[in-house]
Amino acid sequence: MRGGFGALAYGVAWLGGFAGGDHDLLTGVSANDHHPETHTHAGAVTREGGNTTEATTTSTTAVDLLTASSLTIAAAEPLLFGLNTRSVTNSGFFGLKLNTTVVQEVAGSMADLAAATGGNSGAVLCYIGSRVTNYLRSATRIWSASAAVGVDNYDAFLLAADMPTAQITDVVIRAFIQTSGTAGADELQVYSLAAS
Amino acid sequence: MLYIFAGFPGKALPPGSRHLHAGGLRHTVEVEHLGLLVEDGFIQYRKEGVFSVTPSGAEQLGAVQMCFSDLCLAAGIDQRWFPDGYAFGNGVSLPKTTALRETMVVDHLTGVSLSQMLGVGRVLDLRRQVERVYRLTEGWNQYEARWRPGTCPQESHVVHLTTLCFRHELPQFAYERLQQLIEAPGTKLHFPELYTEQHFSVSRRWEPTQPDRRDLW
Repeated sequence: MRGGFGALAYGVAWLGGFAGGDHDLLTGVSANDHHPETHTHAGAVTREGGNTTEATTTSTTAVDLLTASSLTIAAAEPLLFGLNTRSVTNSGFFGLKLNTTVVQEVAGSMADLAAATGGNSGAVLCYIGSRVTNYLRSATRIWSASAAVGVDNYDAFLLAADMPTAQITDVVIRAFIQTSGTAGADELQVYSLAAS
Repeated sequence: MLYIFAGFPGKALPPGSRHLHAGGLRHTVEVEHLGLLVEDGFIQYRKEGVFSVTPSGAEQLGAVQMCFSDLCLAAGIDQRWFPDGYAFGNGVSLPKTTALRETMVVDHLTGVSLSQMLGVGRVLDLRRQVERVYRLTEGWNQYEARWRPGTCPQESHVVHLTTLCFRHELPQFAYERLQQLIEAPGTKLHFPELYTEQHFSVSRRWEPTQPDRRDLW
């Protein structure tokens, strides 16, 4: 049984093996893979993102801004994702939709970048637990901003709805801006984590 | 009226180039007097209609009129492409959707996956021919079903769209101008002196980890 720093180092090496960029990235059989059995089922580790431009909006109501689609993540599999966010001129708010269910928006925003001179940028790291009975709002996040924030990391990540128990096929970052500004998001990286 | 174009301004420009983001395109609409954008604080365009959203709930105000560019329709993107509940918001948006095609390595004679072959606990003869095949996953099947039959790209790709919500139907000149700005590479701004750095994004160089992945538009 692994524990403590050993487990952490093993986990980093495990993810590193998949982020290394060889062509077996998604098959679970990369040359760096020391634990193939945990990656052999569909979507064990899925990496999305890394594109050449950001998704942006001037909308003052929520938009489906950035979508990682075609995923196949079973209910028992935890999900980890990160993304970059920014706002220009005014406050930008970011929420989360899984498949067609808006699980978080507005109050207790996933990230809330307040207006700041020269813009405001940050990052979000979100962990979605296994979607099992009685644990359908088990998610948390940490996030950062380069300037002022509207809510901070200590505020609860309040989910407005239960997460779907079906396979997750779409992770959608929702966003809106507070009057006359621009909200942007990019580099959405989605990882589903093996549960067995 | 909701207008949907393929790509975004400056999509064809090389890495490092500046291009208009949503706020920049909104500025263009203003300075070139192309139309009146819907920017009411509570109006949300969705696939199902136009809604008024408040903290206490949403109320449908009417149907949504969508206008897809020819390039969108030719590529296979129409109203059906957007999942139920898809939100366009209001104003200008440049949404992005990534689709990842999963692959697996199999024995080309038997179709048995490499992981299954490894799992039997025997020494493998790696001189046997293996091949990489696409894996049919539920996620991919659902995604492919959004496209008109036969139009979904079969490799990993990115779909960039530009959506604009206007109060009225655009006159022909305004529509063509927006179409040029968004879909035609190299279109110049009419009043560049009226723009600042805050209206632009910068294209970054993408170092692909998957050789078969491509951007759509």
